[in-house]
Amino acid sequence: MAQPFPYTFYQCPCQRPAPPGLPAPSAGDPPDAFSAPPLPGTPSRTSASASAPGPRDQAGAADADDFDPRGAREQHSLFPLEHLLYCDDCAALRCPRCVVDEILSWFCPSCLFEVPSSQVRADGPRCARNCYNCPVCTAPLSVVSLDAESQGLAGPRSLAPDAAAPPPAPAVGGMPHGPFMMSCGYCNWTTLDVGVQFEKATNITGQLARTRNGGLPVPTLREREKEREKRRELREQREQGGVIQEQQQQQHRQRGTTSASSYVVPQITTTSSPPSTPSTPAAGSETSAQLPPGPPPEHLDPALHFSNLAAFYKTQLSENASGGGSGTGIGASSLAGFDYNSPTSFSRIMSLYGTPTSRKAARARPKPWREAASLDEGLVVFDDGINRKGGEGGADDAGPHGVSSRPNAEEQLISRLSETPYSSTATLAQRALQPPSEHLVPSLSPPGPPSAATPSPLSYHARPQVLATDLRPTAPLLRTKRTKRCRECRHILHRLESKLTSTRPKIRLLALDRVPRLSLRALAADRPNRAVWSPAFPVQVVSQAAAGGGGGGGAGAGATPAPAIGSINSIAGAGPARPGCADRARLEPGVPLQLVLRVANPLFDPVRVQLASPPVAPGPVPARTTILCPHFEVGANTDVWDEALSGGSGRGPGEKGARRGGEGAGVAGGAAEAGKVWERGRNWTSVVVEVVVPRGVGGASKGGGIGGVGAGSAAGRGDEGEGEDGEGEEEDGSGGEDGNVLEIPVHCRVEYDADASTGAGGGVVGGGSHAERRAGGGAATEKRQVEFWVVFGVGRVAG
Amino acid sequence: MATVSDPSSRKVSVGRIRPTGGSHNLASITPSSPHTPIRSVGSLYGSPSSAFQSDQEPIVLECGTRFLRAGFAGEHAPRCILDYGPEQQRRVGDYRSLQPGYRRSSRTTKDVSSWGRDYELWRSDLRSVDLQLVEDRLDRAMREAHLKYMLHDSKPRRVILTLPSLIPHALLSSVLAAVFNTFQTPNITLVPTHVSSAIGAGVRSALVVDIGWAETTVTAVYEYREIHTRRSVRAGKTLSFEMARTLNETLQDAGIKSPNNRVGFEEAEEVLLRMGWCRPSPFAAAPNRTTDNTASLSFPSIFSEPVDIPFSRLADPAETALFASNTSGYDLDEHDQPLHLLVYAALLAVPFDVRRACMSRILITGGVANLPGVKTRIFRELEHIIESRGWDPIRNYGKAGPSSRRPKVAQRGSTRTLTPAEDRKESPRKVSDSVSDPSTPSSTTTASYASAPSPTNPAHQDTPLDKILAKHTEAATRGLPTPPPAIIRGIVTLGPWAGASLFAASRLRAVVEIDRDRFFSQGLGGAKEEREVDFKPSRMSLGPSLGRGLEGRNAWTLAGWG
Repeated sequence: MAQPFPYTFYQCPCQRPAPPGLPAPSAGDPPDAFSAPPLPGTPSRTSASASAPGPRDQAGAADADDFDPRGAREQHSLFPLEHLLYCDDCAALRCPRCVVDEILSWFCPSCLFEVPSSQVRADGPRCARNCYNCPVCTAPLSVVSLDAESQGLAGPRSLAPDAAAPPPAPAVGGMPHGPFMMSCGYCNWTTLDVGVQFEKATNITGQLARTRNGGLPVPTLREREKEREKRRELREQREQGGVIQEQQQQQHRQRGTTSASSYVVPQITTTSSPPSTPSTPAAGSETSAQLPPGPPPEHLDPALHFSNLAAFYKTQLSENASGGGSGTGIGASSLAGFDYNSPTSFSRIMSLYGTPTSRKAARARPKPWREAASLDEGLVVFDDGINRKGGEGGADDAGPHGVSSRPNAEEQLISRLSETPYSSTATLAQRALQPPSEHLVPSLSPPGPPSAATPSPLSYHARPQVLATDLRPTAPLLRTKRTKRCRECRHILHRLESKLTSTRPKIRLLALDRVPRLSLRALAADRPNRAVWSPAFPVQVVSQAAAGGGGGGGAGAGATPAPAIGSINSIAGAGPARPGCADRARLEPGVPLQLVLRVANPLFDPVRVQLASPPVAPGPVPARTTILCPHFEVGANTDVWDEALSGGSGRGPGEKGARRGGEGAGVAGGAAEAGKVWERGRNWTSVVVEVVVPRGVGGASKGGGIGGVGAGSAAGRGDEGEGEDGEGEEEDGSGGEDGNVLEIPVHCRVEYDADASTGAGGGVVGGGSHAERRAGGGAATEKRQVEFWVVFGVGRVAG
Repeated sequence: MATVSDPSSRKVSVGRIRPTGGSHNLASITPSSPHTPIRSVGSLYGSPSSAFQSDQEPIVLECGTRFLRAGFAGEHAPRCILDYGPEQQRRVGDYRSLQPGYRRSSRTTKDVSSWGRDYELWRSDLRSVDLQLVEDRLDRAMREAHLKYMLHDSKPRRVILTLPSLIPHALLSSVLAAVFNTFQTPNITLVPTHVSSAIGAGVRSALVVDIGWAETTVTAVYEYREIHTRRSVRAGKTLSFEMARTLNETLQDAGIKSPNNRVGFEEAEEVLLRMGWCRPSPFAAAPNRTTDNTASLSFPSIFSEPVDIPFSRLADPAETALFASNTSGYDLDEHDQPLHLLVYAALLAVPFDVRRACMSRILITGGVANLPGVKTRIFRELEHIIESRGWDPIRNYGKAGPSSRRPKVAQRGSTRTLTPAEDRKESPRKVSDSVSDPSTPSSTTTASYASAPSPTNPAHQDTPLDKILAKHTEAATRGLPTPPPAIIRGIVTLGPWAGASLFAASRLRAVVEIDRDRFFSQGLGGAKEEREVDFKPSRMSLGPSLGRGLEGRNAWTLAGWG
């Protein structure tokens, strides 16, 4: 696993259809299951059928048995404790799924500027400043100036309209001049690789939006929309001129072609202002009058296509609403407001209080809108090469050439692909990084001077970036500061200060502070350099120093969450902590293995813990599990300052050892005994768990984990041969890469008496159902309980 | 079906969407009289500002077998396209995929049916699908979409969900529950995938060829209603499987072979999307490229050295998987028809009015449609079939059929050489000539041969051209662009997601709107038949939002999903 063995995952009990809602605690004495001797078989089943239904059973009592930590669903409900929150009012764990996120502010992770919400809504979730990431390796790009000679090589394109005139001046003073490019400091990718350079070092986003890969300038969507509207107005003027129907039809046919021809790509020598000449539609009308809408021009991309369609639908709706005469034709447009001058509104107002005289008119059925009929209305005919025959379709400027004169876009792409080495195509990972709105026209021309590129009419629908030269620099996704609320009771569980730079939380209800931390380690590691579970370890011989050192690492777990994360490693290492070595923990089948399960209490009240585990661990490794002491108490987390002040670091192994010896009754001496706590500290207690991996699991394939176990054995062999071969086992494991991992589910139930007034947060407010006042307690205390499943990853079964 | 061409955002009459015959050219022709642009108002007594506040952009989701697309209405592309792959099924806190040198070996199977099982959200065979798990995975994907890509505030928004209309009910229920739970939305609007593809192309009738992951569906949409569907298993899954097989064979031939290092799912998909292509049709007149370069593929995860493979070999999977060019037609079952035959069969099966509308509006969408060459190939093959066969459902007459029909049929297939004006008058008759009822193959004699002594279905007799009708049609179509002739023509569609986004941005009301409370209290079983739902406003005088009768308020329908 990503976390080194042994790891602990908590299950959030939120996945049930019915809200889990902790049951009212039983009368106070623990259920029989937990006081019973830890015979295999009893704990889990009875824990469910007793007073407290397990978190998983919405259906019945026997449900607790089918908690399989390796199940597919459980992958979505198991979390490390650090990822969980805790709702005091519901007295339940809260995972990211049962939390509602409210976004407070948006900021760019690269430049750390805050982005207002209106801009997020308008421009999308990416930084609109000069932050860009490399599309190849995702490293941030930096804007650098081009030298004069390299600029000559790269071609004289520039983006701003006035850019062509001045030759790039040498960099005088501090300010670099000349065209700029973005380059990746990690993989040496530059925007010149895709034929893009910038005139200014600022407003990269704006410049990038105006240029295509290969350097061709492209008018922005707004300019193209404006041009479309101009053409439409022109057309309407002509139609209202009282031309007869035949001419109208002819004009309708002209629409596509004229619009297509007006989209002639501006040459590089010309200014890069958009081709917004309103006279263009009239120009080409005589020559190409017979042609239906041709193939899409080069500037047609999904954005313009969409915009054409949206505008067309909008006009259809408004024509319908006004012409249809329905008295209710409001609400069609996205424009807000209420216009009393509108005929529809007027008729609606008139019919509001009067008798429905206009009923008939109101019932008049609006005519269905028509279809898009031209390119400006969003109809893009696929250029499939067939329609080119006979001059009936297709070629707008190429005219009635032969069939083989010009392959269509797909064929061009194929011939381009055949000349492209495999390494020059974009990988799937690179494509996934491109925003979906970035699917532009693939540049079939090689990057370089655009004069070499024959402007070929393409239909853009060869959509994804196939070639590496289609990749665009990507702006980083914005990050957010969020407030997390409980989905059930809507109380805030986590909230940062609203200042952008501050990371201080105002409200922070972590599960780390509310729920005991359970962790597992070896009972003793007699071979700390190998850091394997010691299977042949006799129970009686205890290496005090090693055990104490392991325990001391996590002593402050409840109080200080941050070092607690690190303490996992130290527990796992149980000795000289080598970072990755615990991951190689091997379990040998057939040998009983004793583990220490340690429960650290972050609460300021002593808690009673009841543990239960299924007798045979579900999953691919059916290990028999026995918790020797399933019912015990853990001390309160009160005297942390005393300990810190008196003991200095609080990590001395000698102190731990003394603590262990001095706790007296209930603490097992040198050997693990059933029913006795193994070790006890200030706010932690540890008990011994005995695990037996049955023989035949590691080598012979069995049951569900066939592939995984087999692969695990192969990995194990490799590991024996060489100690450093740690990654080999990670890579094998086909089928389930964790197919040979022993995971033990343990059901944990925690009860404690909390002070009702000073309890953690709003216990009084929401405590009605799941916390009851303790009768006769004198002080206002109430009894609370939390229960959840925990999954321990113990290790891999050795082959 | 679920889309309504009605400007009112509040009230919708089902009758208004009843298709009128050929109304794509009978549409509103009134020249727009001068009028003020219409505005929306949120409620009857609401001020414009309040209407503005309720003006939240709806969320548009397209939930497919392998990918989830999510974004906002009115945008041309989704904000994100997320997959449900195995990387998304890890536990939280399992970061091992980020470790350097980590590679998760993908499971290789020798069976098409289980190919890529970890990567798909559901399968049609629900016996092996854990619906709760579907919900979990969808939830995780949607949460990622929300928190990473969409970043919208937590105000309740409408959700427009595009789903195939033949999704199983259990699955539909799971998807709805997941959407309701993740986005705290008050209601969900369902739009059929194929209809929204048609919206995304700007047409009302279309033949939507959706080459998806598990299957290819060819759906005839007529006036925004799905009226006919054919499906085939030749789709992305078979294509990917074939690609893996091709690559493995190549490796074997090259001598680089080891049992552990087979090309798996991810490698095959990578090669398919990067270098896969589709050969032009053998009937195409395009010149054959003789240069066959060698692509040297590299699988850094499996082999250290690159593997050389001829570029032409990379077109074999599409040839085998999609077009079955090396399989004889007798070996093909109904469920695995190659794509061009599937399209032809769908065109053949619909009524001729529909066929005429659909054959010039063929939309090819779906993930495999991006494979270079597929669209051109389908159109050319289709053209070839029609030229050779015409619209004759009988492929082989044996001894009985007069073979003299064949050239005539072939001649009819070339009606596209007519000029549009001529064709507008003539092509309906021509199409009707060639139609014969597929359900009664005994009366295959078409109207052109009514003089033949065989019994003739009167419905197929050639009706004389109705002059009055023609006049009205002429009047109705005046000022409209000429309807396209009955040719095979492809239309570029923006895809189902963009179609749903267009639909949502137009603020129309769909037939299927599912209320959150009703869904959680009644489930899908609470849905009424479509005709039981009163879409008509009961009392106009109370204004839009108040006049709905009680029955109309409580009834909701699943329409096509029911």
